[in-house]
Amino acid sequence: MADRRRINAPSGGTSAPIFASTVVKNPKFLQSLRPTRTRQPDQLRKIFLKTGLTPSASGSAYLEIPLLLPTTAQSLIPSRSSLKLTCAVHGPKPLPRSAPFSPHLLLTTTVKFAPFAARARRGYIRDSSERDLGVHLETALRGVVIGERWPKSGVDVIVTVIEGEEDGWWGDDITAGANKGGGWGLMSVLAGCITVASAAIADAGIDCVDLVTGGVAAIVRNPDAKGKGRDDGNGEDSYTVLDPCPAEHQEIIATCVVGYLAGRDEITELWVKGEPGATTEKLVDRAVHAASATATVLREVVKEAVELKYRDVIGGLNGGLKASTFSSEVEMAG
Amino acid sequence: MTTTHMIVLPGDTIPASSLPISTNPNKALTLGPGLRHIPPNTIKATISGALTTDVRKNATWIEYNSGRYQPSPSDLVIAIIASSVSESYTCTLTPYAPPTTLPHLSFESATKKTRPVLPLQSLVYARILPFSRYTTPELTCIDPSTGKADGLGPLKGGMVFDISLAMARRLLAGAKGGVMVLEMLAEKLVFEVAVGRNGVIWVEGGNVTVTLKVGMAVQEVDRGGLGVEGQRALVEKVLRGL
Repeated sequence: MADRRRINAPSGGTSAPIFASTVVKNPKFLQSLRPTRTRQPDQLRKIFLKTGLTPSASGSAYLEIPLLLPTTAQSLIPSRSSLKLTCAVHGPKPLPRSAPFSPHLLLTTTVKFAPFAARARRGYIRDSSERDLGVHLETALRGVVIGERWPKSGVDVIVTVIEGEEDGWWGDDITAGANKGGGWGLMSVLAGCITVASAAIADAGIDCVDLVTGGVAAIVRNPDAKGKGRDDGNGEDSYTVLDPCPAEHQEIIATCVVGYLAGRDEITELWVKGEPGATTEKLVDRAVHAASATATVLREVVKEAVELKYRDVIGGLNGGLKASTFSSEVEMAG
Repeated sequence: MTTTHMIVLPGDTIPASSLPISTNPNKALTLGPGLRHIPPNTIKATISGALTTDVRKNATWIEYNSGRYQPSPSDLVIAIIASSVSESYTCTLTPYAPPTTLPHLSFESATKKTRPVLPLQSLVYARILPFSRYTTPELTCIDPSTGKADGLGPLKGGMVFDISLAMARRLLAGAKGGVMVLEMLAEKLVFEVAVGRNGVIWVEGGNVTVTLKVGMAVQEVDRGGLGVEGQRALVEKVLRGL
C-alpha cells in the first residue's frame, strides 16, 4: 500500500500533540472545553462564497464557513473545525477519441480531501468515502445541467476539501469510546460541495435549469440538559437543528442532506443517514429550508460576479452608442 | 440597436416587458444563446449574464464573457496549423476546442499541383463552414461562391495577442462595439490587424515597437473596460511614448 511516487508520512500515522492538561488533570476541565451550539436551531452559519478565483479553469468557486472563536479561549486547541472548499470546473471539452458517442454532456465529479483536511491525516489516493461523495455530488448536479448543447463533450467538476467538517468533538475520542455513528461531518461537506459546485458551474457558463444549493439538517439529542426548541416526538429532548456542527452535539440521531432548486421547488439529491424513524419527512423539510436560505446567498454571489465581469460589456455597448452620437454631432457642426 | 437590460441568473424567467416588440407582428422572436423556451409562453435563462435585445433583428440573447470559445458557423477565426494530414491541415482554434480541418484546396488559386505549403504552427485567417453538431468543424480560406480570398488566408509576420471573447465580438461589430482605439491609433501609425472570434487578435506593424504597442493597447482596453474617453487617453499615452 506504500505510495512510492511521493515521500510518505510514517506508516503508523501521526497525531498532533495533546496538551497534558486535558488528559492528566481532571476530566472536568476537558468537558469544560466542549463547544455548545449558541445559535438558534433555525440559524445557519455565515458563508463566505466567491467565484472566479482560479483563472486557468472555466469556472471556479471557493466556499468557507469561517470559525468565530470566542476571544477568551481556554485552550489552544480549536474547539471546532470550519469548512473550506474549493471547486474548479474544466470544460466543456471534447471527449477522448476512444470514448463512445454521447449525445449530451458527460459530467464527471471528483471530491478529494486534502491530506491536512482533518485531524487525522488522510492519504493522497481517493478512498471510498470520497468516491461516495463524488457520486452524491454528481446526482445533485445531473438534475440541473442541461447537456443537449454539447454532444461528444465532457465537463470535469473537481472539488478539493481544504478543511473538512469533523465527525464529532475531538475530546470524545480521548475519553469515551468511538462515536455511536460515523461520518456526520461528511453530510455538511456534501452540502457545501453542492453549493460550491453550483457556483462554479454558473461561473463557467454551462446551461443550468436553476441554481442548486445544498442544505443539511439533523435531529440531535442532548443527554444532559432539558430539551430546548421543539420536541419532534422522536423521544425526549430531541430536536431538529439546521446546519449542524457535529462537534457541538453530543448525540446525533439522524442527518439529512438535500440538493434543492429554489426556483422550481425541486430536490435533485437526497441523503439521509441515521434513524429518523417517523420524522423523516419533517427532517427533509428542514433541510430544504436550510438549502433555500443558502440559495439567497448563492444568488447574490453569482449576481455580483456577473456584474463585475460585464461592467465592461455593458459600459462598452453604451459607450459605443454614445460615441456614435458624439461623432455625428461633431460632423454636423463641422 | 442592442440594449442591455438586466443581469439574469440560471432559472430566472424573462419578464415580457424586457422582450423586444417588433414592428412586424409576423416575425418570430429569435432566441440566442443562454435562453430556453418552455411552451407555451415562458422564456427562461439558463446561464448567468446580461440580457441583451436587438429590436431590429427581433432577437434576444444573454451576453456572457465566458472564456471558452465554441465554434459556430460563418465565424472568422485565427487558426494555428497543427499538422498536415493527407488532404487537409489540422488546425487548433483554442487549446481546448476540438481540432478543425482545413482542406489543402481551400486556398485561393490552389490546385492539386500547386497547393500552398504552410509550415506547422503558422497562422491562418479562415472562416468556419456550417457544420452539424456531430461532425468536426471545417475551415475555409476562400469565399465558397466566388472563389476569392477576401482577406482570408495565411498571415505572415506579426504577432498574436489574447483577448476576451466579448472584446473580439465588439471589435468585429465595428462602430456599434464602441472600440475606437484602432481607428485612433491608425491616425498616426501604420499597421494591419486581423480579429478572430476565438479571442485572438493578430497585429503586424512593420516593426516590433508598433506591433507591441497596438496589441497591448487593445489588451488594455479589454482588461480595463475602457470607454471612449479612456481609450482616447490611452492612445495619447501610447503615441507620446513612441
